[in-house]
Amino acid sequence: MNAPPPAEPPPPAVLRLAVTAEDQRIAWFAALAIAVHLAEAALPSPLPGVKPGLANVVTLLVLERHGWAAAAWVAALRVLVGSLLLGTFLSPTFLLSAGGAAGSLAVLGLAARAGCFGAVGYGVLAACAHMAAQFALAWTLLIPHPALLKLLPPLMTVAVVTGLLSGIIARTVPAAEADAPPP
Amino acid sequence: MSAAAGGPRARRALLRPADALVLALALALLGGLYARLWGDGGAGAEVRISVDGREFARLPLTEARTVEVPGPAGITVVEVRDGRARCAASPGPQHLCERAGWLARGGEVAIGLPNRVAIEILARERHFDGFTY
Repeated sequence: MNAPPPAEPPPPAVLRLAVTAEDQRIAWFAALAIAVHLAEAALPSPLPGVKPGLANVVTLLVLERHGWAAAAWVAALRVLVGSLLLGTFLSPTFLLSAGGAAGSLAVLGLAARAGCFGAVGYGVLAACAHMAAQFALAWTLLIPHPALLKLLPPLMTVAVVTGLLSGIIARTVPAAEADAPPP
Repeated sequence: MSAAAGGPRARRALLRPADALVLALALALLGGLYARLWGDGGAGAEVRISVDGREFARLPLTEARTVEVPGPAGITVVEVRDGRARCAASPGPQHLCERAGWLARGGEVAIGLPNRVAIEILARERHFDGFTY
């Protein structure tokens, strides 16, 4: 009965990683973002590079409620897993997607540090940074031709409009739903 | 979740002042982009006349004038008018230089080989006849 205190417990047969509530939250939001990302990929696009960017609504939600680090995780996981599921991993599409995400996350990091923006401001900043980074990548890697510059104004117009819309959506999603606990 | 600065009501405001500023700046950026990239980038800006590979003159297309360019075979006359330039007369036997006609778009060239004269339009945007990939 009086078992000695286990000075050296035997190594567990199964490695157990501690899963924090933060991990679960990120996984839950990333899954949501990936689902939106996939649904969006099925939509026809009027112009190369034009997408509603609805998956970024999730990034904005997470940024506002749980900070930049969580938002960066969610966006990075979405780009990675989304490309694996769509079969574009490491393709030019993936590079543009990752570059755009990196650009928008960098700008969002700066904006979050400033701390005076709401979802709409974040949305417009992120969409513009996303488009600018994608355009710069497309220019340097794919087609460095002056005619491509003619596409920049309409593309940026789309970015501003979609950024505004996703910001409004992120702002108007009821807090209770966005913070639904992971099951 | 902890109460954010400003309370829940301020958090739910659709547009914070900084957001409105971002939106205004974005619209200004769009205006600037359209003005700069969709402006008069296609029109030729200058004509460069070179003899034997060396620049002889560089003239704005907006000022009408006629230039006589001396070369090894004689005098080539370059005419600039109405935002265009052309070779008006050349000493070459085939007059290929004249046959190039009026040049207006960036990258367009007329060359008179006997006199080693090249007339080229310089513009922010170069015009190409075609592309193949």
